[in-house]
Amino acid sequence: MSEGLFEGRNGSRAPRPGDWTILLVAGALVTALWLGGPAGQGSRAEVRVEDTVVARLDLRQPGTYTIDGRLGPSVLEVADGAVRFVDSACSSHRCVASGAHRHAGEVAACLPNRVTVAVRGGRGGYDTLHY
Amino acid sequence: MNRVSRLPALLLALTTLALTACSDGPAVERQRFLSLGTHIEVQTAGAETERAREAIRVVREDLAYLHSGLHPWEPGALARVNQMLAATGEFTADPGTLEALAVSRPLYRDSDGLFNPALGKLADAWGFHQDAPAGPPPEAATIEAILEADPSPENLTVDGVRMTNTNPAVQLDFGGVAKGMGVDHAVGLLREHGIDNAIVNAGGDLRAYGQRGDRPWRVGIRDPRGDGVLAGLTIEGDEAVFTSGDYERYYEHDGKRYHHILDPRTGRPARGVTSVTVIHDEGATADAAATALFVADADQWPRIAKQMGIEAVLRVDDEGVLHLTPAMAERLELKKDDVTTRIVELP
Amino acid sequence: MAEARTLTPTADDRRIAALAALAVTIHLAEAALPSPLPGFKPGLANVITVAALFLWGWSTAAWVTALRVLVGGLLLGTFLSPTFALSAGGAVASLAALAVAVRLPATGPLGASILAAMAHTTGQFLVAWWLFIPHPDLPLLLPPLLTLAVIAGTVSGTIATVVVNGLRRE
Repeated sequence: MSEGLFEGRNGSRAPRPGDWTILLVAGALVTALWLGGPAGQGSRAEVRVEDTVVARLDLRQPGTYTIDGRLGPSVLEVADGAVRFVDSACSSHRCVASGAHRHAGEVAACLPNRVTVAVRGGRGGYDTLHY
Repeated sequence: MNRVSRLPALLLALTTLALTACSDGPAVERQRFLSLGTHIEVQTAGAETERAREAIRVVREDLAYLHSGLHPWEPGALARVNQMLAATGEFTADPGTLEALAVSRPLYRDSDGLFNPALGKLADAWGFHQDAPAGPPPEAATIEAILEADPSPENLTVDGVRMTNTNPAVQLDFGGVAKGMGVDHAVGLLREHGIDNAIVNAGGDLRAYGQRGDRPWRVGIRDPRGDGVLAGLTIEGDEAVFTSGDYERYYEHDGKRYHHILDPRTGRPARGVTSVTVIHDEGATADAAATALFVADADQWPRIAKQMGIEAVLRVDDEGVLHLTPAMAERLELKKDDVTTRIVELP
Repeated sequence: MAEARTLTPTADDRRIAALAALAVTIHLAEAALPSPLPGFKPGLANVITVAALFLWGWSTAAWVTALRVLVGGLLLGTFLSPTFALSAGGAVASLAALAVAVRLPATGPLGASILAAMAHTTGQFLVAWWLFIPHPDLPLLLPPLLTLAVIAGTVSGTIATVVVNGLRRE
């Protein structure tokens, strides 16, 4: 009978070493989750080449990214909570001149290269930006 | 269920509700794509996904067609018309061009010619009829010759689909009204497809109608001088917000900057103004007015605004001073305090 | 004409039925209770499952859970609803955890309960994520949910230990 399986393993009144281990590990795991948990509602930059989303950059993480567009590479830099074009394969470089973008709704684009960067998320108060 | 299973389920349910309330509210469908030479974003609220997607798909197709009829230099319907115009005489024009011309004529008149869609030759001479505008600026003689010829929409007569041109200097360039027409088309189509609330944003210029759930659409106006939001605007009813700026298309040559908003009277980029923002109930007029009011002199623009039926104008001069009509002052919620503002009454 | 077979419930069957009935009753009672905190309900039904695990084995515990989820769902009118999917997902995960817990050395009802509670929460979360709400911010819920799971598991594990000890003395 099934009772036989548990004979001798479970007669004590108090929780056993295994129980405490589990409790401690569970506590540690949960604490770790609280501290280094999943990314919250930060701003993100959605990068597209034509209609295809090629990257979603977390604006809280500085970094440099190279995106391959129609004409060649466009280089994006995330720094200081904002994203900007630092170089591009187009000739006019208006994308670079448009500067840093950090507010939800802002869009930076290298139109000749078909690369667009739209800032999303965060607790922006606007549905869209006029510029 | 025990405490453990009930708790997460209820928390999930509550948080989902909270998340929807805080972040989405009504069903918002948002799509963006490239068209009309710019970045277009359409947002709809309160419509089921399938219906919204279908409507946006229709808009997209329409704008692609419009692009061909309005693009000044890419091979397409307008380029062909311009070729025929240079030869003068009578020819068959395509519907897109005819529509744009019909829209532009009253705008040309009401702006006292400050908005002139027949100046393609001038724009081309200045190097703006290419993806990357570049110098050198045209010779004074070239500019004078074009001004002498005085090309205008009045040189064209239309009979059905037949167009007659008497002035070989006429080259149609609808750049000053194309985005306005685009958003008007888009809004018309969205409405036809049962979308009661939407924003159509074409490279920053937009038209919005309806609401976002139980609150109005909120628009942030980017500071043309740089980073950040200059002002907030709450959309009322159905309206278009358009800006013409000297920072949109320009090039530098020999240390001087030349922008694309040409004054039809001097044949040269208009001076003294950084940007003009206009709020009006439809896009084409708002678009043309933003251009015309940019070009107008400081003492002239209130009259032109009145003539064009515009009430809400913001004109930023090249010293950064904001000139606002009372209607505009009422609408904008300024977010920066390091700005000088002046209220300018309309006649 | 073939003879109809007579099915007679065994002692095991009766035990399972009784436990399941008890679990369902607790489940329904909790559903009826108003709670001071949203979602905060005493998790007594889990006590039954864990106690059953240590007294009569995993398969009994599994039956009890399955019946509790099924019958509870039918009686509460949530059968085959999203709530049901969540409940079933959580139950499957927690039973898997219990199967593991029982094989861990020096682990009693307390540890098993904690493991089961965490597995249950994770299982429900995954169901919600994959079937219903792939919202990118959903993972934000995990830390608080798992914390509550650990607390709940500790409390129900303690009760289960008392129950198991109590029943063994008989």
